[in-house]
Amino acid sequence: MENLCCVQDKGRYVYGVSAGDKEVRLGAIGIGGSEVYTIPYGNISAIVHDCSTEPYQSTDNEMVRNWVSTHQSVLDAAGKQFSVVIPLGFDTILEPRDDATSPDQVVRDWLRQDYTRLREVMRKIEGKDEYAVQVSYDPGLIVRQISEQSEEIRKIKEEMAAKSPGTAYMYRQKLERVLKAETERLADEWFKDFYGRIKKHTDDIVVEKTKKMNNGQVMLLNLSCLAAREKVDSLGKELEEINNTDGFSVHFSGPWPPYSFVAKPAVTIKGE
Amino acid sequence: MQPTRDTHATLVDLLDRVLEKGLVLNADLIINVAGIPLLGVNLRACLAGIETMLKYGIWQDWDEAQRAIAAREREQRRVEEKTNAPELEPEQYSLSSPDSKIAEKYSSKEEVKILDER
Repeated sequence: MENLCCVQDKGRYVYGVSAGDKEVRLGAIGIGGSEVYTIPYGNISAIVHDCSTEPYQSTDNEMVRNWVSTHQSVLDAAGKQFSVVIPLGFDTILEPRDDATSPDQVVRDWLRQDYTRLREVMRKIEGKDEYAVQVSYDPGLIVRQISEQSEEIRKIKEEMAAKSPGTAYMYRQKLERVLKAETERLADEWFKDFYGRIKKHTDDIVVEKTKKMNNGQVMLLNLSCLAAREKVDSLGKELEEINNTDGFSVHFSGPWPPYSFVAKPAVTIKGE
Repeated sequence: MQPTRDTHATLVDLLDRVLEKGLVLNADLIINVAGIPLLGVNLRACLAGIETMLKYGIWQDWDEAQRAIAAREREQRRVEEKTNAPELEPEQYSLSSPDSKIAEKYSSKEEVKILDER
């Protein structure tokens, strides 16, 4: 990365931490074609490449996208090689704070100091993967269903038809209020129902913020699920059922490294 | 139903995770830029289908606000370690007042409800 200033090769970009006590070379599969290898401490190893002590930054979307995909593909490769891998987020770079310490030593020191926590996280995630699950609904269809089923709405509509345009406007507003309240009430119910059904097939679950969707659908549920490999089939079946329910659709992606289940607050080393 | 790893269909899932999650290291050890990845924010904005927000300039404001909060939080955390100072109040997470109208327009009711469930 000749465009980056600062000290070349003094940084260690960390992709993750795996079980394993040997220095393993994974090849030139890293960001920018860099050599990825492991730095072991005891029976755990950091998966790294050598880099400068500048973070990877760019406003070029394509470049960032490539970096992020490469970060993921290194973790995918590591996942095939090691029994368990704790994923780190993008752009985690360790650097020595003084000239006396080598970059590799900094990594080993970190593994040593964080050892207990890292082993604990490994125990939690071993044999499990993360899945992203999003359930959304078609608001148009839901409104039609509510309109057909609700006695209150049928009445408002009947009355509205017989009124002058001015008065009808007020009825329309009332109708909208009722529809909105009913949709909200139902969304609450759906949330609880789907959440409960999905949770059964997972080992841990994180409720993420819902997002605005650009296809007219409304996202009801955005979950990160940690699931043991043998549970994935039953999770898939449950999601299939939800997906087959009129007006609902499910997005189901994975397996991902358990990014959402390793982010405990950092412990304080050296007592700041 | 089988989970997918199709690159196109899962790009947002990937970015959500790689850019925002993963094991957190002690700040003493790592190089960082104000504590949060500032990369790819625009990329995420485009992919999430919120070009409209960009048009209104809201995303940039939001991003800046988030960074300021992250920096403050980090500061706070340092202080807490010594003094057990109280946590940041939730309202500090909201957008600044000039944006609140636009923010209201773009935040769905469902979001609020789901947060309540947590």
